[in-house]
Amino acid sequence: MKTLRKRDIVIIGSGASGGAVMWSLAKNNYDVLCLEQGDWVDPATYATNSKDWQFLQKTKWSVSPNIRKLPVDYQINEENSEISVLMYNAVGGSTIHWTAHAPRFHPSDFRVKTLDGVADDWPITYFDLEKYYDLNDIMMGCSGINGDPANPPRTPRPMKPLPLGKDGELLAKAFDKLGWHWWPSDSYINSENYNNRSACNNCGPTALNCSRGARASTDITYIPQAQKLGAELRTNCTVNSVIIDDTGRAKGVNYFDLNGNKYFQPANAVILACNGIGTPRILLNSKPGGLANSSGLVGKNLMFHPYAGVQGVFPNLNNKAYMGPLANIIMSQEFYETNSKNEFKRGYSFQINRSNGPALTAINYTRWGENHHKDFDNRFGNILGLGIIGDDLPEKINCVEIDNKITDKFGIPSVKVNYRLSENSKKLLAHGVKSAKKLLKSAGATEIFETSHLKEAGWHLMGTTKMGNNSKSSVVNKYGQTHDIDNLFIVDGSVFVTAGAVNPTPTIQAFALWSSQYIINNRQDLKS
Amino acid sequence: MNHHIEEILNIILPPIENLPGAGDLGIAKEMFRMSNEHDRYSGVIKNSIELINKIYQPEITEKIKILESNEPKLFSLLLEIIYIAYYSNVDVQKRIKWRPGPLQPQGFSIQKWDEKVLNQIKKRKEFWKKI
Repeated sequence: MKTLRKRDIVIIGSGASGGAVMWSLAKNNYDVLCLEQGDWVDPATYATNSKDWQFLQKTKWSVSPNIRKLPVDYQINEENSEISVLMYNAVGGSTIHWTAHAPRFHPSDFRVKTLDGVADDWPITYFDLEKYYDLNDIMMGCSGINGDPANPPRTPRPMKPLPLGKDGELLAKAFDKLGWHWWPSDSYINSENYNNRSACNNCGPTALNCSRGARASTDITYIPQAQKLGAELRTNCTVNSVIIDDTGRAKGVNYFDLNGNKYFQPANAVILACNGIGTPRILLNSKPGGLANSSGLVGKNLMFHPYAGVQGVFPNLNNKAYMGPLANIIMSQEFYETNSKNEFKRGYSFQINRSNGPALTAINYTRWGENHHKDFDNRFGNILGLGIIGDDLPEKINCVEIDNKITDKFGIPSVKVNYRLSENSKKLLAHGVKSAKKLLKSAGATEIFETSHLKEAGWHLMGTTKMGNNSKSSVVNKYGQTHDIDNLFIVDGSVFVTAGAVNPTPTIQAFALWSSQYIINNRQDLKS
Repeated sequence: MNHHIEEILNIILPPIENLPGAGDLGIAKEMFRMSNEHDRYSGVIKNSIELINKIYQPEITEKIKILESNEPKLFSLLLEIIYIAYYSNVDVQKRIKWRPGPLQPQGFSIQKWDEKVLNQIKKRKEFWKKI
């Protein structure tokens, strides 16, 4: 094994949080190295540039690593999980492959124990993160507008909202008619040219990837800026363990390069930014019983967002509702908070989804045989859906554990995911489905389809190295520093105490910037 | 009697307007190309045809229904690759008024943002929970 030059900070993972912390620390003169298991993805190779994009969407560009099976992906045992894990492994991480929703958690999300008697309060508040949310909106490029009555006032977004389109306006009017909250979605998609990136041209399947750079991902936002500041990004480096010295402090990481050569990368501190699956995988693989695991909570409390979908058919959309970003139209938070009249705690958001392209429409909404063409012609480009994204409360039985039967190409054990929907989640989703149907009927839908629980919904990976003040009941403190090892930090969604009922990426990135600021203010000792 | 993929495709996606059924349209070739490019679909076509041909039933439509009922995962993958190949066909795309080729760089044009749409919701008082 070759030992490399010692660095101040080594960051594992270059996704949403890794990119942000890499930039922040480089800006403050730390000698930063980021190790990424994947490679750069050339935007010219993105599926949206190919006439085969519908095929690629289901195969090489699938959101699931278990389907995609690229050499860089590791397979995940999901036999015991009611939700499938979705992620992408490359420079930019899963921001290569996301819808770029940019909502914030509510202040109440940080205080669920106090307010609702469930789970735990976070050791930080919304207002601790506020200025980092603002900074992140500038770095990623947020389109949106102030005045949302469901959220605290905030600084203006750098860009105006994405247009709602005829389809968005149709549903906006229906929300108005019922007196339910709605607001244009905050999105990390350019509504105008921004920071040398083009405005969105409404091609549709945002999550598939964006070859014009209109949709933010850290490979085109934070990381190039970090590199200009002197940070190094090393690709095709698969970390298998964090190494501890005789005093119990982290002294670096071991990794494999593309050809299977082994390296030891020494550093004054290690930051894990590998998401709610990858981070516990490294900790649990680092030593028997897991590293930084005196609480026994590494890998426990896995949270996704339980997700249901209800779709309506609107023939008056004239088969055009596939034009525009797939999901970044309207967010409704009418049912976000706990309501004592409901049989569940916490709540959910509605997100509006546009129509898919022709093949996905056929796959999801038509019968084969003599009825096929009638189904297709009535529904293609005429479908609008409400996604119900539910809060998820932590449970220890929902967890990630090492699965020695599945290994990656280097022989590193993969993980088994154990996850079941709680009764609370089931009741919450049922309420969401009922409400969504009411809204779609009110909007004039001629047909309605529902998926009461979507299995392929594990975009948001949270909770597996919980944050807290007490080392017996949490893995990291409020700055992401592990209780057990003072120079080992975690900055991804693993640290979340609860899940909120919105897409978590802005909160993940705001937390990464907050954690980074702690290091800058208090850990000059990590500089060589 | 052994059925060919074209015959099965013509049942699953029959003729419409001036287009022949999917089998006569020639999408099988495209399906085989795709199934060779990614293991999500490898073996799906061959296995489906073999199973259909083993079903003792005179009507091909009934045979397909039996496959759908007995092998739902396999059948759903078969339908996926059929639909992907069919709706990637330029003649089919012309019928449904879908622009052929990649999504980029052209994209689509939609009506511009108009703040008037917020008039009603703006009147609502803040209701986020203050703590």
